[in-house]
Amino acid sequence: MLDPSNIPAVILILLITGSIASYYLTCRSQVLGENLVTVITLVVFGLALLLIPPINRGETVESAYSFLSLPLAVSFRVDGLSLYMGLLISFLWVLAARYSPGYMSHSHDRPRYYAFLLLAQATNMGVVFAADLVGFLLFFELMAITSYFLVAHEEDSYALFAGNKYLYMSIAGGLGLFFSLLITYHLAGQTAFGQGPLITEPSSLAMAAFIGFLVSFGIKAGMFPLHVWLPDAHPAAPAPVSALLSGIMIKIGAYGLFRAFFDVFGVELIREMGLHGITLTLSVITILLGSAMALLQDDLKRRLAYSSIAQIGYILLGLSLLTDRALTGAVFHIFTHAMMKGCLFLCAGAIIVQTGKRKISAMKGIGLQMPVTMICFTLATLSMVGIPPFNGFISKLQLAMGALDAGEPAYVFLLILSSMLNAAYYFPIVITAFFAAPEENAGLKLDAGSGMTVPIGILAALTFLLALGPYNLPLQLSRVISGGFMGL
Amino acid sequence: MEMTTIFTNWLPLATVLLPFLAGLALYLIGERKPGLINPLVLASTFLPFLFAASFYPPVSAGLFPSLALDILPPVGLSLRVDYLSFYALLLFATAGLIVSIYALHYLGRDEAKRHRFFAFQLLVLSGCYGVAAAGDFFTFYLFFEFMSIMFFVLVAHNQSGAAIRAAYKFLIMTIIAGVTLFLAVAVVYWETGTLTFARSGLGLENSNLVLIAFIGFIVAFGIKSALFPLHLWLPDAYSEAPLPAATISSMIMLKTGAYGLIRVYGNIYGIEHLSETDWSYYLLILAGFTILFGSIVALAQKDLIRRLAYSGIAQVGYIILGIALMNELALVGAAYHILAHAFMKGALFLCAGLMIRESGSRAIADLQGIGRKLPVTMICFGVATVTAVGMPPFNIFISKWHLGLGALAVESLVIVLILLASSMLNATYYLPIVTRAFLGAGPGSAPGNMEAETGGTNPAGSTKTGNYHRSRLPLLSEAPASLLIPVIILALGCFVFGLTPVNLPLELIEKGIALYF
Repeated sequence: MLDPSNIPAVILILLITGSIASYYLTCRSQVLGENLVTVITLVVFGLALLLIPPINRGETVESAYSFLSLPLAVSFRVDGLSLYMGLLISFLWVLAARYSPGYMSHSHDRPRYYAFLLLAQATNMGVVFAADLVGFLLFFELMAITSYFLVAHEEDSYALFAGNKYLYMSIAGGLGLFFSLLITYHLAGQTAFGQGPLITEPSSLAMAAFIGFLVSFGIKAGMFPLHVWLPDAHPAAPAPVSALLSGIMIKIGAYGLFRAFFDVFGVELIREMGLHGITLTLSVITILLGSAMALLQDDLKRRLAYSSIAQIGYILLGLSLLTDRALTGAVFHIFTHAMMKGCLFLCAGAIIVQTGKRKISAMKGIGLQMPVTMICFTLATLSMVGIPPFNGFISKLQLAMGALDAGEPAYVFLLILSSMLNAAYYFPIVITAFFAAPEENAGLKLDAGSGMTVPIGILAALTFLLALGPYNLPLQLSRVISGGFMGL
Repeated sequence: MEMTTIFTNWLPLATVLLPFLAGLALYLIGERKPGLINPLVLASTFLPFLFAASFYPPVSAGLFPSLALDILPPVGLSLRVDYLSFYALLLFATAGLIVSIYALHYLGRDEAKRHRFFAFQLLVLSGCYGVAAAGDFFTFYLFFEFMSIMFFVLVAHNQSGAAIRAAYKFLIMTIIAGVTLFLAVAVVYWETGTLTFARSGLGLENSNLVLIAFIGFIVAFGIKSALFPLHLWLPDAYSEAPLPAATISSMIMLKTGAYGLIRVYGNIYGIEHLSETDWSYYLLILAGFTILFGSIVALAQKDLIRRLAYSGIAQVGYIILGIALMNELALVGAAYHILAHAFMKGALFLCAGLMIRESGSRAIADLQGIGRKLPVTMICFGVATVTAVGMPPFNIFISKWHLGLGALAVESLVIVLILLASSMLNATYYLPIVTRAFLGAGPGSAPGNMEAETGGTNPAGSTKTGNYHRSRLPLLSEAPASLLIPVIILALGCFVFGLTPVNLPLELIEKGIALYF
């Protein structure tokens, strides 16, 4: 039996070797290569599941070995939040891998795409499993490079422009993290997570470190005013990559901020220095700006991209309120948003592949032509607006409760306002799709094959299914994580 | 301070003398017997590499092979391989071997005056090894001068008007460097009566004369390592010299200046003594300025080699910066950056050679889509590029880590920000070359592909069949192994040290620098 402490390393090694193997296999046989990629992602998901029992017992899984020498050795550590993120990453990657063959069937350079798909997963898993800031930075930087090749995959001028914007902003983000890492190490003499706060005294250096973290993770998360790469990168990337970018990679930014708040600074120092006020203000602007900009977009993927900005604002809001329930809501919203936005982007991809349509105004009657896709799309939008019993409702409820706990009822109104904006920019798409008369090919059934619809269906089902049962694993994990961070 | 012992050993002398004698022999008989060039060059760079590597067991155990020669009285020559010498010597010998293998193929049999080029390359390398193995500043000075003057011939190799002008510029600045270094060495000898590297500080008293000597050292090593505003010779020399010569200068010769400065700080003046003065502060400002200047000017270059040249100015600025900060972390970072930059810039130069060979142009704009023809080369170039940006696990991350911590130790956020700004600039002037080499030019649509496919000018001489479907035949248009393997080794060198359980060069450097504190 595989010792849980070795699982992170095994996952990374599997993904890296799998990436090389899939490159050569896809060169020789397209179908075999694609199946290999799906199998590898499935195995990784299975391995991640094996980490649940020890975490449920309240243990932290720490790797017995350390790797590399850099200036400091890199090691792995899995706590509740790492596991939560790891499960999400590996799950969404399975669906993206399953979905890709259909979407990429007409694309070029597929071997490269699949190789980088697995490498990008490796770097994402590495980020969340890293035991300290040095390991975090290592994988964070590699993530920027590997995902660049995915974002720019189409290689048209728009994709190259968007990819470059993404790459250079990511590198700036990496440098910001390096800056904070140096200061943290200078002040604390170590950078390991889970050792209690690393920085304990308020000082100008601590402030500088916080700004570095904020810039770095703000860029990754798409926080205002560092979001500028996001509305270009998401639409330009292939749909499965958009789903991963929006579902996972921007959450890595949020994950980094969680680590900065609770493992580097600690709640007390954050309160003492008033740092949460900065993120609180920025998150409010992020929510409102994202929603308002989404309203203006006619390109479906661009609208989804701006919506992602607004949604990441929720997560930052929940973090900045610094109450237990708000934090639970923020953590749970990572799951909520991964499922629903993943679903929406995959739907958008299916529409593009099957009809070539990107503009919302051109999607009249598309719900009659692609019923399965658009029903799933509708379910995801319902979750987006926050209607019970969808996950979106649960996260918003937790966030609202958390806002009240913090004595800030104004943020409840912000949530309501944002929900209404969500409704205002999502429901017209659904209404156009089902109730407007199609302009052409009225009777055709255009739904994509099962390779694409099954991942879409699974994500759509997950926007509400877990909320119906008695055992809601993501919510339970969110509560445990938040309780741990808030010292309860 | 750790106890160290010295023992007499003739191998350091053999390391230095072998390429020297081979170079002389080559110059005398190479023209008549061109078949001798390749074996002679390979043997006289491979053996020094072996000798240098063989010092590892004693040096890592704290035993320093050394040799005192009673020639050139009253000072006498001495060789002494301590931690830092060994580090520099092995690095230089590795670089010398790798570049020589590459150069032997790159400057092929039809190259005019081929024997002269390789003869002088061996003489330059001999000087470089001597600088690294020197046991006192007098010996250092002799080899340093010898190396610099021999390099003149390499710069002027093409004998075009521009090459001769660049070589003159180089020669004039080299002579200024030599004269100021001589003055500085003479003052130090007059003040203390010794020039040995065996002590951490010779006990100089503060006086105007000693300050002048210090300035002399800065000017001499500043010229060699292209410190702003003494960098003027470098861009011209690099773009006119044959590519392997520029590579040797970038990988080794620039570093001899930085290495000399470490010796000046650590062994001649002593860190403790210099910390009591504010002399180093001005060097710090110059270094910071050099970093930003080199990076920004590199951004404006459209010629690949000139961009590499200006980037080298910025990178050597890091080393000077680390030395001028004068604390243990920063000095370790500076010394490690010698290696980090050597592998990074070596890989970039040798890759650039292959790219130029394929595309026939040095303009960066002509390199679009070249990654589809030269995937291995461009992957190596990409590795070196992310190294330059300072991403982990690549080498420059390790040097920047130490430099940054050293800057924080003197509470200077400005210096950390300069390092970050330079990293960002590195990204903006290197990464586009890589991304545009791979992306944005689909298979078969790369400019120049048509010509190459129909058998156009192809200096590689390899037959190219079919189209560049790189998923099937990725190596078809790559350069031959003798050019590609050096590139791959250098690219691997950009990160292997950080992957091993113990970072061997870093360990040596830490031991060597610790002697100064």
